[in-house]
Amino acid sequence: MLRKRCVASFSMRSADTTCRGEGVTGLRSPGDPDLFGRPEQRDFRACWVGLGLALLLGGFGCESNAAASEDPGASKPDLVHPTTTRWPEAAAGLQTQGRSATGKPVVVACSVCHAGPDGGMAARNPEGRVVHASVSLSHGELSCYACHDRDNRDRLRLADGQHVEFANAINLCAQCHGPQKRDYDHGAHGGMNGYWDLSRGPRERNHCLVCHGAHVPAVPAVYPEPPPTDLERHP
Amino acid sequence: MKTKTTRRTHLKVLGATLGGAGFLKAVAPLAQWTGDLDLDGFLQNHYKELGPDELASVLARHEEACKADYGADVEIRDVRPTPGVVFGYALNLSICNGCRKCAEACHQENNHDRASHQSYIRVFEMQKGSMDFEHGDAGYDHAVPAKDKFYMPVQCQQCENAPCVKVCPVEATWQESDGIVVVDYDWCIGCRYCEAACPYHARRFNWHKPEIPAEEVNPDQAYLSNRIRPQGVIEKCTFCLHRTREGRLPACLEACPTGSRVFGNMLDPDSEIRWILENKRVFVLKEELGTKPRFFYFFDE
Repeated sequence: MLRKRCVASFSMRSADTTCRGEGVTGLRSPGDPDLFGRPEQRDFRACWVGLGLALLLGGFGCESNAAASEDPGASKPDLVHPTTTRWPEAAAGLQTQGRSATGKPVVVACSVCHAGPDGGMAARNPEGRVVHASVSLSHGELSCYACHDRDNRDRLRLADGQHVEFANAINLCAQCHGPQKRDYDHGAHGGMNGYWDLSRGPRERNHCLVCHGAHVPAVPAVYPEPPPTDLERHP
Repeated sequence: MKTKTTRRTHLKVLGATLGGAGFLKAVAPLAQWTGDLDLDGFLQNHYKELGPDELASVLARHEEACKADYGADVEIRDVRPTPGVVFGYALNLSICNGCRKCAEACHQENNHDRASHQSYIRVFEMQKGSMDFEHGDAGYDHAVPAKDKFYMPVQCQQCENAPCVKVCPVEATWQESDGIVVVDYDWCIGCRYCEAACPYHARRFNWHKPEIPAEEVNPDQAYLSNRIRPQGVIEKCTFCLHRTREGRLPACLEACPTGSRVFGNMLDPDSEIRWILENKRVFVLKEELGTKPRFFYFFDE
């Protein structure tokens, strides 16, 4: 049960723009909403209560409990390590040429230019689309406001009007790509690193946008690693 | 009294000379091998019969040998299977794009010979509409995915009914409780029967002593998996048991940028691999041979 819940939850990113583009998300912090926007449930608490009860019962000198505590498997708390989400390198916001003191690319929040209900763009940037000249949209029949929130450019918008943070864009993708989302939730789509056994270590999973561009989601062709040189000997 | 040299004596001397010369000729190659063979290695027991102290000294000896031969400081561990774990692997052929990142990761993780660019994984380029991987091309060298092709990585299937294990004349290869088929490289005599018996071309023979620069040797090694194999023995994929038996994912899975690989404990009903087996239309290679592979393939519907 714990494992399932963990797989289906995603870490949130800090909204601090200087952190963007770092590529890797931190561990979930308490109170962060999960994928569906619900506050995270603290499963560990139940574990520790259970462990405390077990120890309490063991304290009464029950023979079977004493035997169980010798078994390393039985005495171990049922700890589940977190599954974190790797955020794409091209993080939400406008990538600039600048670098921070720690060498990370400086990303400017969208609302720096786009403020106000009308987008605020005309007043601040008379040159129009020059800033976004590199964006070419080839994502089905979608247009900009299918995903971007017209009133607040620092977040995204679901089809039913709910707001989604950039870090939770997986929810947005899932509106149309249900089977892929289902497979992702079951570990059958999307790269991962770390531990298959979450009781022994954490796991890191790719966000959709690590492989698929939001604007051009088709994965481009790549040149493969070289083949072995002795295929005749070892077909 | 004067002894007569009879015809019989002559024949005896002649026979003894010929026999002695033949014997010396026959054992002559041993003289060239003395550099590689030490007495401890020659007298070493089968892995399953090694006691804790014996095993520790064997591991230490191999670590020293690796330092002497390759100049690399390595740690060779003995990692045992976990009770209640049987590994399974699944691969989504709809997603795999044939980039060979898995084969490359295997090459590095498992300390393969650099010259032959060896790997336990062959990625076959297959014509769409055909499932015969014997007609696949493992040597493709162009941008992928190519039009009308799909890509099928093949490695050891860790068969439940493994033909390679049955043919070994010296029991140098066997299946462990978590389903992984392993080789004791120190017990293998290099007859290559298992290589011939495997229907998936999953076993490789070390024709040469592997060449690996010291800085490229992966120091995280196990006796039964990725320690550098000697010349003249068979090697095979072990699902990276030095990683997976400690809960980590195999190197090929971590390297896969597409997420087409799924690994886990088939006895755990909540595992990802179980979800695949229960919800996807999986198939195994050469099912008709009855090898019962633990490696499954599927397409997205």
